Amino acid sequence: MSMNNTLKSEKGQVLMVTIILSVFFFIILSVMLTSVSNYVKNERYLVASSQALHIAEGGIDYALNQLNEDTGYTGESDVSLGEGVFNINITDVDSSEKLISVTSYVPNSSNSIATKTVSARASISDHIIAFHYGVQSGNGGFFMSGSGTKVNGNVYSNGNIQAEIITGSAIAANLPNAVADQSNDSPLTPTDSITFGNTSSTQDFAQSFKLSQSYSFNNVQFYIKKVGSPSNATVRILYDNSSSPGSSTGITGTLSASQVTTSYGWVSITLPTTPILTAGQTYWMVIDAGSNSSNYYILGANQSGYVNGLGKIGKYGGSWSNTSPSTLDGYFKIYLGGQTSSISGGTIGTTSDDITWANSVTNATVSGFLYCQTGSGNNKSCDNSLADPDPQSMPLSDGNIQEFKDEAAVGDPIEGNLSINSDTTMGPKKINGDVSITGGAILTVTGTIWITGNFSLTGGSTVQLDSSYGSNDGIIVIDGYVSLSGNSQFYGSGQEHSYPFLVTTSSCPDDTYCGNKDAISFGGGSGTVGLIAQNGAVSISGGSALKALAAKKVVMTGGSELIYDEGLVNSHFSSGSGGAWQFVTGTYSVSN
Amino acid sequence: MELKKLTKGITLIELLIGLAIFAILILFLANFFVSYYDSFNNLQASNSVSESTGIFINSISNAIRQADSIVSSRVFSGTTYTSNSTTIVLEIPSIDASSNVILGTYDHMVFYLDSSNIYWLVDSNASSSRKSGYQLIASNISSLSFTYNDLTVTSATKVDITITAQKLVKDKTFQSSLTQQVYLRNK
Repeated sequence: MSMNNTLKSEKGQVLMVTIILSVFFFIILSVMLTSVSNYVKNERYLVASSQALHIAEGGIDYALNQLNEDTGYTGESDVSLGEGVFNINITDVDSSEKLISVTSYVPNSSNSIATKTVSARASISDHIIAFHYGVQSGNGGFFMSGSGTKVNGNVYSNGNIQAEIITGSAIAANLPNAVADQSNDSPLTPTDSITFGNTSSTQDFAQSFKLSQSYSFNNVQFYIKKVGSPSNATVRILYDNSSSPGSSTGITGTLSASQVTTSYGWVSITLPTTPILTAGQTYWMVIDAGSNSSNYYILGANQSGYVNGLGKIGKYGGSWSNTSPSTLDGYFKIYLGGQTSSISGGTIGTTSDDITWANSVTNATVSGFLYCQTGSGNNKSCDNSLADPDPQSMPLSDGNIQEFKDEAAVGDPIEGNLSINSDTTMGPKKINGDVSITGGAILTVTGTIWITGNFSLTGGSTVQLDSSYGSNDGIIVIDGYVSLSGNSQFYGSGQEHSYPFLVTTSSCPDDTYCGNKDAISFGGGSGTVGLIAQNGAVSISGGSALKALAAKKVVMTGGSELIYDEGLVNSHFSSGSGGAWQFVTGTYSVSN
Repeated sequence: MELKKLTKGITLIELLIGLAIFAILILFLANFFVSYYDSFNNLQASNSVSESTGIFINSISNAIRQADSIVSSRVFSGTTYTSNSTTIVLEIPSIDASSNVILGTYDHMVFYLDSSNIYWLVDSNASSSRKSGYQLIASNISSLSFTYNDLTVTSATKVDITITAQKLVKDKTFQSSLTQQVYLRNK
């Protein structure tokens, strides 16, 4: 019995050892397997997560591409890409911005190891530009005439206002203080002199010059003395004609002989504020004197002292010769700006809140506040508690206009003049030449258009924005002048606050190519259009109706009417459906 | 007769042989377990270094990708962190509950190396749904380098990240190196 027990016990020890060792072995093995399996799981997740991110990024690029193919695209589900799938969801932020959200799943949406959501906003090129006033004019002023000529809105002018009916406020700002734009006055004691007014061949003196900015004249000054008692002389500003004085600009002033003494001194000649000369163009100022051998003038001069022009001697309306020596420049200074502005005539305002504000207001019927320093013939007396208003900058910057041009200049331009006489859809497009639309043709604008020449619209033709503009405004930029006549029609996209805008960079009628045409002349048309000619003049006549106007000088006549839309304070200029949706920097995010 | 048989027992020789067999068996098993344990440790070390670098690269790429700029320096709870080759301070547009960017508000993040550990600090705007906090994101780091594509870090649009993690087990070194190039998608 005891032997049997001992034998059993020995056998049992071996079994015990085997069991203990096996348990130990399995514990270690399972710990190891768990560790390996965790590691594999983590690694698989890291790889899948990285794949998911790249699939989502691919998805968002795909979504943008789809959006550019079809602006109404709102997304799709279960699009396969690589090792996974993605869903796209596009929602509108506003009319020109969308939120694209792409969620990816690896390997699929029902049983995913990893998922990532990438979202970013996309916008179609859009510029927000504020038009605070129905009419905004530069230093050329705003002139209304003819019964029924009316602005339904506010007017701000950096020059004078001649009013008819303005239903809102009218403000005429002073020009900045007079500054010497051009001068030749060194050294203090002139090295040379020019004698004129003594004989017929040296009767008048002429000096050419170029202004650095297009601004109204204030005065010119000459460093001059007299011999005997010459009579007053007339100072004229003339165009250039083959490097000699040419035709008149219409600017004249009087050199008062009594202010000139027998020794040199600066004598000022006041000049009218209009017309305004073009910067960088050569003009002549001529001192048109008499001819008397004992009563004449002597002007201080130097040799080649003035780089932007030269002096000549001769006779106004006759021939001109070089001075002797030939490089003489007279001593002069040209002052620009500094005038105070005025509002004259008209009925201004409809409520007691409307403001009429200028240095001088005359013959106006004012409903609300009348702020002025001097006034006469008004229905109220001046409230002089406010200083004169300051000039306002124009709504578009050069940068804005360049962006419009860049938008239009995608793809191949049309070379040469373009005549449109049947219905046409266009944009974005650059046309290197003139464009004329005739015979009742309809131009449907699908993107920004840039015309490097002139633009004309006649014979009841129409410019309209494509419906894809939505509530946005569209642009046609023109480098030359614009003439709109014969019942020209303009329409927006069909939605509220959407208008076509014609923007010209032309400085007509000041440039020689203009042939006295204004930058924009709008006669006998109607429709919802904004006109902008910040360097030139706009004339509106004959019952034309429009939405907004900004120009250096504005003339409205013959019962034309402007009806301002409050929505223009926040105008969205779109590049149109031809433009591209692009990601908005700073809106990209990733989440799990 | 029966009793005689029982007292005979096992001989010393038999016992010695038995013990010897048992000892050989134990020795063999012990050796087996030691090498088993070593390879287990090695495996763990190797996994831990490659996980460390992988998780770090994943997190930092995600952050840089969403940043709108690298900030030259910023104070987080009293300590100033300056962007350089082992520290990066990021400005990231805040996000709302649906993970969409809140325009005009920003969160800030710092990743920095402190001896052999990399820490991740988040300082969120009050309106952001990102959580502010502080965490150890990688350890056993032997080298970390951020290279910016502009000498002025605030102007950089791309960051090259190189990270190496190292772990010594007995006399064996386990190493994992990763390199990633990330563009700031919001700049």
